[in-house]
Amino acid sequence: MKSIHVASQFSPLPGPRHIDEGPNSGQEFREKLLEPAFRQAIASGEELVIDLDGVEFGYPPSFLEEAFGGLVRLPGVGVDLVRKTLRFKAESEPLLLKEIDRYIVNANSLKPPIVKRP
Amino acid sequence: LIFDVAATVLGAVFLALIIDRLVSSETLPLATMVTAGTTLLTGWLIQKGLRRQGEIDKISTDAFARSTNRIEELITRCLNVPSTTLSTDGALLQSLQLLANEITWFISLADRLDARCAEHDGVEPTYLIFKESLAKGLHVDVRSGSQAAAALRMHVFLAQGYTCAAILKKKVDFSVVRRSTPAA
Repeated sequence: MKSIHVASQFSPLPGPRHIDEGPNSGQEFREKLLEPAFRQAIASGEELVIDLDGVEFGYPPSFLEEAFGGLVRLPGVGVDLVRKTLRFKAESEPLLLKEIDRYIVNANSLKPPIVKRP
Repeated sequence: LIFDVAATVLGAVFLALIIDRLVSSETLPLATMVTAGTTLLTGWLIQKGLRRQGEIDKISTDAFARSTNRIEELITRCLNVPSTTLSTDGALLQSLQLLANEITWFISLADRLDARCAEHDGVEPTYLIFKESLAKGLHVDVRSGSQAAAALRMHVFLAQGYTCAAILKKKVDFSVVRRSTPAA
């Protein structure tokens, strides 16, 4: 079973939604770590465990929505595949599980704020 | 325990003295006095039992009151930030995390004491809306957060009220709390 420990493999200080808004963004996490591991997990028929414990303060909602809601919005992915493949560990803040599930389920109905890109 | 025993002994001595006085006065029959004494003793035991149960009930209702106070403090702390605060601000995220965990405790305590009501179901979703309303953008949105906070406060208040009412209706089994709480 593959796993990603956000605090040690990405950053202990998760950042904003998009790359151009600041460091350690949800978009950066999704593109660099989550999506490749997700694709690998699907190919090998395994589950991918996301360990959310160990970050310095907590997770901004925009980071979580962009990372996991953004994953659902990728072509050919969808809610069912994400829910089937990802497992979460959040012992330091159990409510994160419900928060992330909400972003996954509502990924196509929640409208992320539009940010002007350079 | 020592004070209880001392009070009981003292009470018994006084009762014996009174009975002795009344018996010697030959104005009241002994059976009436024994009945009166037994009634007094039974009444005293009942009120003592009720008072003790009242104190025990207060433990759980106080726990909910304290939890509600902490939730209120944390909501206020989350909202009491300048509008220029980034949503990634460490102090803000820490307050939100503490608030989330306090809500988890608030609900699990009601579950464990078998005093959960429909209002509890609304607390977590309302918290998630609050967090999102406050920190969904690059900067905090205090106005939107305040509106969501009102709904969260209402759910917590109602849940606390219904829970305390439920607790007072029945005896609390504290061992359930210990059994279902993971060791630190």
